[in-house]
Amino acid sequence: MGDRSPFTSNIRRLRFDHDEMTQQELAERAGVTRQTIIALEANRYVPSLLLATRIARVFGVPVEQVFMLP
Amino acid sequence: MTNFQKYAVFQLVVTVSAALAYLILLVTTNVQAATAGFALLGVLGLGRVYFQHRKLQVEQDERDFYIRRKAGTIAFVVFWLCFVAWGVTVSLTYAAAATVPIAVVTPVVWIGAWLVYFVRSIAILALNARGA
Repeated sequence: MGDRSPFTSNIRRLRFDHDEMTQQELAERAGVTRQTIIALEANRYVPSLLLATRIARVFGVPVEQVFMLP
Repeated sequence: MTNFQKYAVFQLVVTVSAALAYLILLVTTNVQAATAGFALLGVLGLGRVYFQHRKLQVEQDERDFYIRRKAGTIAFVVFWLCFVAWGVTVSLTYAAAATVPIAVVTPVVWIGAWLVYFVRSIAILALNARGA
């Protein structure tokens, strides 16, 4: 965890699709800091399974729609 | 900037201040007395009280914990390399005398503690900026 991300995230597009949800709002709903959301969107951090699931739940989609292998 | 980053900046400011105090005392007094400059490291303890008092609790998520753990490892590795280098240097320097002056040994305890906090705070800020 923490090395260059071996997969890409769809968070930015999903935020856009959800009424342009802000990074801060997503962070609060997922229980993390905004910096973590920024790092995830930039594919610079690999989240734990728990966080990935929480983010997917916020968007109401399966985890594999949020994070995917390149 | 998260509270976690602010706390790292606070630690960095305190450690740099302690280093400056040490250097000033080193110039104006002697090696033994100069270690008093490291007393400023005690302010690090007050920092946690301040942040709690101000309701600025250091909110940490899993990425912060990861960064903190990694920064701690980096700090310990740097400390250990420096400590071994110091040990080898001292052994070679005082090999003939077979004893090491206390003035050489005492500051190492303080400098070691200082080094860990200093490197750790820099590593936290760097890892945060890099994304971890």
